[in-house]
Amino acid sequence: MRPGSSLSTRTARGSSSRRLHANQRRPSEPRGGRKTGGRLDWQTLRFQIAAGLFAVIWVVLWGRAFYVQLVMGPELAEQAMRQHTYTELVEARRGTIYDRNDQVLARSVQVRSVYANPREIRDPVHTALTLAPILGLDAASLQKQLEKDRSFIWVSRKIDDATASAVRRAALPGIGLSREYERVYPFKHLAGQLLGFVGLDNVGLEGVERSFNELLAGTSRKNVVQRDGTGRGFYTDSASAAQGKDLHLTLDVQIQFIAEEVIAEAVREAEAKWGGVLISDVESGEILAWAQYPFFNPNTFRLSTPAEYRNHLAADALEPGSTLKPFLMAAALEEKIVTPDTVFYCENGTWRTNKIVIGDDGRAYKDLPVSKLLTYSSNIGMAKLALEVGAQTYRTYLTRLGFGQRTGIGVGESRGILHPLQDWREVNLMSAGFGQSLSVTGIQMLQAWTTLANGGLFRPLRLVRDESGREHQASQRVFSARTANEVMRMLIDVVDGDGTGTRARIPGIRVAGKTGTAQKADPHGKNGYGEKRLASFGGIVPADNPRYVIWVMLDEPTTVTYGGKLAAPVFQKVASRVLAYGGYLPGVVFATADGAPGTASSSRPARAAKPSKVKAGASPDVTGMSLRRAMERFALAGAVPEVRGDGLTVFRQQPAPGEALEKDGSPRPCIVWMSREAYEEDIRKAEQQAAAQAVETAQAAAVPAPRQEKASSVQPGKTEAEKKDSSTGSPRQKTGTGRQSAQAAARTGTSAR
Amino acid sequence: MKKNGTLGAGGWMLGLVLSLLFSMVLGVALIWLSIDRNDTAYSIHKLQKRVEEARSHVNKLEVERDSLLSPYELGKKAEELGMGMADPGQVRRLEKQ
Repeated sequence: MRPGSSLSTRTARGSSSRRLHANQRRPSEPRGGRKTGGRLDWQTLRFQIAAGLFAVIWVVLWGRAFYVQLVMGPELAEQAMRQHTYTELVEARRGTIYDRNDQVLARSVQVRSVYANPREIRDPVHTALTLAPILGLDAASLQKQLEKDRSFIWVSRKIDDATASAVRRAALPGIGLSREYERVYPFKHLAGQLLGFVGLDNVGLEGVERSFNELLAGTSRKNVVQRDGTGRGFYTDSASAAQGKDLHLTLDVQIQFIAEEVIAEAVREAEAKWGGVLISDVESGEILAWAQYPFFNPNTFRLSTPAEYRNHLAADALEPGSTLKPFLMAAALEEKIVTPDTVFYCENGTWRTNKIVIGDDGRAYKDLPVSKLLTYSSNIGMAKLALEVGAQTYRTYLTRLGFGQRTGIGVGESRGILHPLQDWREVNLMSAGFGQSLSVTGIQMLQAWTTLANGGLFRPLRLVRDESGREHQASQRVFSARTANEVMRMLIDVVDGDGTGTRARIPGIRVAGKTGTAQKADPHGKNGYGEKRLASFGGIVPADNPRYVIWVMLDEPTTVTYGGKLAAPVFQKVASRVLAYGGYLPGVVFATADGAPGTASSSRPARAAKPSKVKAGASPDVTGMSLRRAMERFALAGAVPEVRGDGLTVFRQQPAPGEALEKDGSPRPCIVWMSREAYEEDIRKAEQQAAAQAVETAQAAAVPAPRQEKASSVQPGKTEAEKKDSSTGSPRQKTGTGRQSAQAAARTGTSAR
Repeated sequence: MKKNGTLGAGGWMLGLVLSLLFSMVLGVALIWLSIDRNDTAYSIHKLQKRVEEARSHVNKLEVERDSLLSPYELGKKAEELGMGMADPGQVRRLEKQ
């Protein structure tokens, strides 16, 4: 080591060290602008200020971030959500209502409604003047609405497509179009009162629409829709509203149309308050028609009054009158209180008892067998029969038939009035015997008549086809089949015999039915009844093989008031057309081979009269058949019948089906009557013959006939045979109607020529 | 050791670059997917509207058809053509033998 060099190095190091630290703070020096050798260290100060500033900014930024994220976070997130998304109400489509053949009775279609956001409208005057003519509104009132400080108002709802296009073309700020569903009834007034209608918000307000609202309505829901910067929206959630379910009714549009057309004509002609027709299918209990006039069009329900859309057939409880008599008769026969041959004295048409007077409407009957009480619709006879049956029994049967309770078919209906047993006084019982002192609805009557037509088996009526559970409801027997058949025979006599329902006859088809002309209750009238009437008819067709029950009622007719003259022809027209529609009218069958053009090789009646097997030696059933087929069947049985009258089908035959063709080894006379006129002509001749024979017998015997004991002619429980034993004359002779004996003679073939 | 250390730093750098690139690609893909999703949503929305309008149109046409085929309308037409419900005895049936 060299000392000189070492010194110079040290010196150099020392000066270098001074230079090096000239701009640096010594570690032992205090911070801040301190004077270094009397000078301020600005460089350090600037650095410190900048660092401090950055630190402050940093802290402020973090503070702001903290505030925005954590304090204002939820609120801002909500605000952002509002800006980026909006909710859209998706209205559920209401289910469609169909008839039994899937014809649409009510359906929902999409329409547009016009709304406004008054806050976005810059020029309410211009908007109102433009929009009012398009929508058919008053411009001044529209302007007032548009000037309101609101964010939403409906301008016009459920407009047609052309109007919606015009509104769209106008492109007015603050005016928009939204989608809604409108209920449309394509068949207009067809079944209007039954279907009912829905309000603006698609909620059922009347009829089936109201009763089945829950099923039909579905559930509307709100969808969240995202939108971009231009405001275009797109769905982030694909779920849509729960659509309403469809409803399949049991109605048949064609049968409904037939019923409506006929009842409308009848109500107009009779100048009645209203009229209705109900038709049921006997086998299934399904309601095929529910017709009412005056009509109601649900498409324009706002133009109708509540009286017009009232469902009278289910909501109006009225005293039915004589159409209730078959059920008392069935109850009496079922309980074996009487037999068809039991005779009732009918007081010569007027019966004063219990401070009331019961009349037979101008007809004076003396003794009538039970089998004729319905035929002649004797109020006195039925009142006496009601007394024999008793209030408890009669009421029990009425309850089992469904009176005094709702049928449960699913529309708003009345229970009717069936008084508690303790309120049934003798007078009530008597009047209930001919259908007064109790009130029923049309649908209850249809239920009871359907039970009778169904052989006494009560099967609940149905209006909805796919309603779960109801299809499997157990049937309940009210009357035995034997009783039902017995009453059916009497009801056939009402129409086919000389009863009150002759205007319900249909050529070639056997009809069972009963007329009714009920006085309507009036608190100001005599005995609580006024001059107003309810004309009705209950009928079953074809009576041989019941398929349809038809209930007809006309309320307060003015020109004609009798059920037999007014309601029976309605039944006849409806039944004929319904049978034609169903293919049950008698007709000629043309046989074809593999679809070849038909050749008239055979003919047969309607499906209703199914040909049974022919038994040799026994009379075949040929009623309702064509002459050709009837002759063939008699020939197979071993007889050639005599033909009377001109007609397409056999009206009556002799011997009765199943009876032997021979008696005591000799052939019995076989006759087929092809028309009612021919049959009645033979009956008339037989009557004259019987009368002449009676005169001859009386003259020969020269002994006067024993006098009748009229005062005690009500002999309940006593059959005709018993009466024969206990008196010298038969009940038929007692009534003095040679006609009946002649009919009997005609039936046995002894004097029908 | 030194060599390995130099290579390790380069590896990290490469990894970092690759990660950044991958992130960028993912980011671009995400943006592309988002745009595509929006476009698809718009298309679906438009198509849904068209379907809805077509369905609504079909419904209205069906209502029109049902109105024209109502028994009352057909009855009027039948009357014009001289047709009506058959009366008893007017029915003829063809049956295969």
